[in-house]
Amino acid sequence: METIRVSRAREFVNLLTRVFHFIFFAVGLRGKKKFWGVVYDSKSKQPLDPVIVKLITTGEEPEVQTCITDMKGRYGFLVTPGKYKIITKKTNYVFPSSRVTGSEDGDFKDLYHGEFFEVSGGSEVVAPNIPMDQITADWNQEAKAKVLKYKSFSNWLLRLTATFLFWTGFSLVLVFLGLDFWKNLAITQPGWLIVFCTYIFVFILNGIIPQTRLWGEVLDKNTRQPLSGLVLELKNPILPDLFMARTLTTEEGRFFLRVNPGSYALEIKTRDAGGQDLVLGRVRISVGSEALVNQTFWIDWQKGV
Amino acid sequence: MQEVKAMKKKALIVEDDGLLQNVLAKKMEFLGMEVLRANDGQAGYDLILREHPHIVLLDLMLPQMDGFQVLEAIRKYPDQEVAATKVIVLSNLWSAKDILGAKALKIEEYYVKNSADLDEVCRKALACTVQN
Repeated sequence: METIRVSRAREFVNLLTRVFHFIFFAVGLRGKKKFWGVVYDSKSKQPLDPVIVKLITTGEEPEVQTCITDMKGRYGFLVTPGKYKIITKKTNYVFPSSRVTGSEDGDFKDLYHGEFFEVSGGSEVVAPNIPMDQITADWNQEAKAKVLKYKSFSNWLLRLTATFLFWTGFSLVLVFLGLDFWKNLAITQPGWLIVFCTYIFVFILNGIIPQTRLWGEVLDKNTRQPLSGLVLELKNPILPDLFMARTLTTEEGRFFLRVNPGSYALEIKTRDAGGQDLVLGRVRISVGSEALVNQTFWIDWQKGV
Repeated sequence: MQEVKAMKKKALIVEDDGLLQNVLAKKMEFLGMEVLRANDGQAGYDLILREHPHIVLLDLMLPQMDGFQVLEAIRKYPDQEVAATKVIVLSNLWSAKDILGAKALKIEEYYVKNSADLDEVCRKALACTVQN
């Protein structure tokens, strides 16, 4: 009995935005795709783990959520509108950084330094990049640096080449069109005009195609209403007794589920009045390099319960 | 007081990150457990041999001896009580190879740090000691 259906339309939109983002990134129109916040060493730029990251708010119960960064320093929170602050803690490191104090640091944009911030509108993923300063040597980071590779030189070179070719091409088109118009007071070579229009089309697409969303959602198949308070668990198909990630849906049916790339069995559960978990259904999903689940899942609630 | 202490279940945390070690220790103490700590694999192994903890919370990436070496060493140890020590792994290593490798060494549970609920990890540790 199939009770969970993955929205193919949403998967298609996700795929399209990923493809376009890759093209825009390759030619230098966009920065690195931002799926997660990264806690990193302000000097070596190496991601840090394990870092305890706390989201706190004003009020009687200030601690809202806590998580631990993964091997690549990644973390994130799905939050409802309100005023928040993030605190990070790691042995041998201090926060906020006094070495990096601006809003950008090389590849790292959108830096966070401990100030309060407000989230308005609907629930959204909060995941700024966070630099921390090392105060004493850290064995874990040194050991990790030997086995993990964080940057690929070949990828960097490819991107540099593609960016150079893209902008050189655009400059040449402008020069040739300009010369043509200057000599003839008209565009006599439509080929250059077509190439120019193609560039304009790419710029417009870059402006209107949004970044991939960071959250997924669970909706009722029959009423199309969001389903809140559901538990989502990701399990490795070959290790069914071990869950790799777990999250809850918000009132808007949204969830933030971070996990490493791979194939997983997603289990969606609800809790009955007696506190027992009821499995509504299972579905196989693949997680790509974005390392998060952002699909829309439709649940046939009547069938499931 | 001594009687209370004698009833307490003994847990060993082998974790090189002092902050995480502290957080786990506080949670376990709150659950009524006596907590021992080690910052590296060798110190953890020595404490297992000497203190015979009811449960060990073991990281895998550790200085001196890594978590796999600790697990292998205790499983091969001639004393049956040491060889049967209950171990829960808490690591940020997440590949099936690492998880299956640890499971082959008869652990109670494997938790990936970045997706684990630390309260649940500690409750599981306590539950394991109750089964002793």
